[in-house]
This record gives sequence, C-alpha cells and structure tokens, in this order.
Amino acid sequence: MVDCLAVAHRRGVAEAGQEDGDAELVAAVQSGRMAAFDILVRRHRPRVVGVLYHLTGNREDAADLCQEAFVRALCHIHDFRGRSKFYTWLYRIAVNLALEQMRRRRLRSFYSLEQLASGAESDGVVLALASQLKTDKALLIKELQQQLNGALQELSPKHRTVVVLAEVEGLSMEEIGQVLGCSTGTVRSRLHYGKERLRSLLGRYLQS
Amino acid sequence: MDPDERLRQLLRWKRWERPDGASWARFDVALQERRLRALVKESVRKRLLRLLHRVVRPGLAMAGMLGAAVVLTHLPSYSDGLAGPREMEFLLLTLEGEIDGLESELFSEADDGVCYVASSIPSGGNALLTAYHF
Repeated sequence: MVDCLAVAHRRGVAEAGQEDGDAELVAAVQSGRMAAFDILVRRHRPRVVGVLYHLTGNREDAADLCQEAFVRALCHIHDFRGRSKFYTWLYRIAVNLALEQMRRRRLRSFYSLEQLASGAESDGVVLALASQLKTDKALLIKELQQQLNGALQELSPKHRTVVVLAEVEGLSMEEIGQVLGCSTGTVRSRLHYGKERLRSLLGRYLQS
Repeated sequence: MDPDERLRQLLRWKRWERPDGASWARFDVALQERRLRALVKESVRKRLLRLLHRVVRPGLAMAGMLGAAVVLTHLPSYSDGLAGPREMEFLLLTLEGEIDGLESELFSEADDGVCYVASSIPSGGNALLTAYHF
C-alpha cells in the first residue's frame, strides 16, 4: 500500500510537474485566457494545500493560504519568466505566505487535523506499528496523526518547511533550494537537523 | 527497522491526510470570490493611479512655477542678481527642461520693469500668468 501511495503521489508530482503542460498553460494565462488558470489551480491545489497544511497544522489556514497563493500567482503571472518550474514558483509564494503567517502568530496556533483518505489504515507503517505496539489500529491512527503533527509543529518554521518539502512532498534538494531561495547545502543541513529533532520526539514509534 | 527509514515512512504516511470532495467545492467558491475581489481592487488601483497621474503632474508643475515665482520675486539674491528679462528667460528655459511638457512665454515691458510669464502644460490644460517686478 505504501508503494501504491508513493507511486500515486509521484504520479501526482509528475503530473503537476509537466513542465511543458504548465508552461503552455501559464503562457495562455499571460495572454489573457483565464480558463487556463482554472486548470492550473485544479492541477496544483492538492499539493499546495498539502504543503500548507503540514506547515501550519491547520486545515482552514491551509485552504485560506492556498487561495491567497493562487490569487497572488494570478496577479503576478506576468512576472513568471519560466526560469523555474511553475510549481516551484507557486510553492515559493505559498511557503512565503505560510512563513509570514507563522511569524505573525508565533504565540498562538490552533491545530485542526485534516481527514485521512481511505487506505491510511492499511498502510504498511500502520500495520507494522499496530502489531509492534499491540494496539488497536483505529486508536493508533488517531494517535499517530496527532503525534506526527505535534512533532512537526515543534520544529522551527524553516526546519519544518524543509522536512515537509523533502520527506512529505518528495521534492529534490535543488527544488527546495529554489523554493526557499537558499543553497542545497543549507537545505541538507536543515533537513538533517529537522529529522534529528523528529527522531527524538517520535522515538516511541521508531524503535523496532 | 532502521529508525531513519521508519521516520521516512511515518512522514510519507502524512500524505493520506487530504481534503475531501466537499472541501474542494468550498475551496473553489472561496477562491472565485477572492479572485473577483483582487480583480476589482486592481482595477480601482489602476484607475486611481491614472487619475492621480492626470491631476498631480500638472499640479506639480504649477507648484514648481509658483515656487520659482516666489524665489524670483522675494529672495534678495535673485532680485539683485537677475534683474532683467534675459535672466528670466534663462530661468524659464531651465524650468521647462525640468518639468515635462511645460510651455512658457515671456512678455517683458522694459520701461516699467515688469515681466509677464504665461505658463501652461498641454496635457493638463492649466495656465498661469505671473508678473515679476524688477
């Protein structure tokens, strides 16, 4: 099941990253054909909402920021010159919005968990943990969702962003560097630190 | 299992957290509203900028002319040093160079020491008639 999800996700990534398709759609929007923008929205919204949800830990905020990111992208579509892929440009807008919001709301954050798609309960890691911890699957899923989100929120925004983009979204170091406007060396070091911190926070689930 | 690998699996498991179909319907409606708001805001902003451009540019030019008139008539150094229509003509040419579109004409009455300057900006349609005493 993990593989199915990974393949589906990678396919999503590949579809979203159809540079040619995206480039054509962006060119169409730049020439005033707004219907092309709707296609771009439909193509990229699941991933953008996903990233924003994992960053903020709040599904309402994620939807709100995602809408704002698309509106900003539309307003600045003429600034997009195609030097990077459209989705890295879009991620950059979305991530900057999220970081801005996190800075503003440093002292107050509300979490609201997203729904789990059907299939989450039969994922390999859940089956392995349920048998290892000898616990009920439904309870474990609930607990895992809370613990994972809680642990991610313990990271600083810049470490969280790199972990989410690399490990949850599957972006390459170069792509993350483009999104965040930093070197791949910086990305690697943030990822290393972020994962180290997560290992200490989620120790209970990582022991064999 | 290697803790690193388990951590990766757990983080990948988060991909199952996804909005359902109803959420997307709400999302689309809200996005459409935001797009329209942004569109209206942008169009109002552009209109205001155009209006400001039309009003402020000639106004600024006129203010410049008035400022020059004040300097020419009140400051002793100018009154003493530039006492004649020729110097006035030079100053007007300098002003024309600085203010885009400014056109001015100098009428001088040599015997009573009064210079009249008519200034206008073609795009703005404002005109100013100033009298300078020497």
